Amino acid sequence: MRPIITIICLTMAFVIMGLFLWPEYQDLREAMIEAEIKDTDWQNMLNYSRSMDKMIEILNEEYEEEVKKMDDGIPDDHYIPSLFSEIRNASRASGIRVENIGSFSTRNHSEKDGITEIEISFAVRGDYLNFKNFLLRLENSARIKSIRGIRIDRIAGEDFDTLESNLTLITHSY
Amino acid sequence: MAISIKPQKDKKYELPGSFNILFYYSIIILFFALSAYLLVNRWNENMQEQIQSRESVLQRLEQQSEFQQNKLKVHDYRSKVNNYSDILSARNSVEGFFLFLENSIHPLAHWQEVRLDAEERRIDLEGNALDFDALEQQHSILKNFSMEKEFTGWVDAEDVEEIAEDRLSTDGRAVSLYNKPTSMGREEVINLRDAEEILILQKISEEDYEPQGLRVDIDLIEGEWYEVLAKKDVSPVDDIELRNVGETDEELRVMFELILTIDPIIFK
Repeated sequence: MRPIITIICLTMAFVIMGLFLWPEYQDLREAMIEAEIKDTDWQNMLNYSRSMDKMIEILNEEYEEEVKKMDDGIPDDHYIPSLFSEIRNASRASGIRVENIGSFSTRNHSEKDGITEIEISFAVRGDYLNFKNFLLRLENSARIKSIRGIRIDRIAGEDFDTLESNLTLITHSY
Repeated sequence: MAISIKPQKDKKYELPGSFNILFYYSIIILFFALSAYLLVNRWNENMQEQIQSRESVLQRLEQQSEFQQNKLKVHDYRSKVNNYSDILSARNSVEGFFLFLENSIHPLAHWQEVRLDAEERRIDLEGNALDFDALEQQHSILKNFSMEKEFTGWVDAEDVEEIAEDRLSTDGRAVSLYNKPTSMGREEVINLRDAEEILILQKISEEDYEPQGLRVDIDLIEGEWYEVLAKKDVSPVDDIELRNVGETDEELRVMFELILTIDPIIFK
């Protein structure tokens, strides 16, 4: 009887190990790896959440000025009248006369989604140094402006340094 | 002679001792196989439950409105920084243009009309010179004109060849970025091979410039970096074309029109 029981026991043991235990063990190993990945995901998510809180806190407290500078540089709306007003103020402060102000066109930025490019053209009249100061003043103001085109003419018959100029500027908004 | 016939007793077949050991071992092996299977199975179930609970916690955290709001805020900041940096670095500044205009005109020539088209990288210069010699010299001045420009940027420590006091030399390049050596924003590579001097502003390694938490969504370029201020002579005129040359009616001056193709570096 014993030999038969021995054979049955060994056969059953091998069947259990081969058909049940081994696949179960493989599943366990996979589950352990998956659990480890989930743990890492969980840790990363927690770190990410904490980092975001910290980053927002830092940006709000320590980089407040920089954030404001970025908001002023590219405002969230066109604000065309205030743009013209800024040009007028810069011209008064620089001692030159602005003419034909008021025309503008807008279009979507070619590379950046959600950004509008505003092109404004106008004429100015004044002497060279004041004209230069006017442009530098505009350039150094909060809103980012870029020169697209300038045409400068020396006015015949007037003081040698008196200029008439047509300007095309580009500025942006969201 | 009497022969007694006695039935012989059956000889009992006895298993060898080693077979008995095998019998007990087989029972033990079966027992262990069963126990191991049950144990592994239970363990596996626990693990699956753990995975499920982690997944649900992760999902809950992700769906939290505060988390979503923070994510949006960070995304918003990131795109603002990107846009600001890109638009600022692509801006055409007039300072270089005026500097060029003031320093590239011959004393015996003067311009009457200047047209700048920044998009086409072109300057049309109309004016007049005292004579043809002055015009020739004017042409030559514009052709060979160079201006010193200052650049700030980041040099990878691996590209540094030599460091002496607060200056370094490199055969490589500097990556000019708005703020830090991150992969965000538009990368503008400046060739520092011919730089006159490269002044070290600061040396920075990853852990130095990474404020706690700022790593989120900002891909810092790993490694050691030097923030530098480089001075370099640049030639803003790529090409020059002379047109409409002729004598004026008045004072026998020579009028001209020069069409310059300019390097956008003039605006930086």
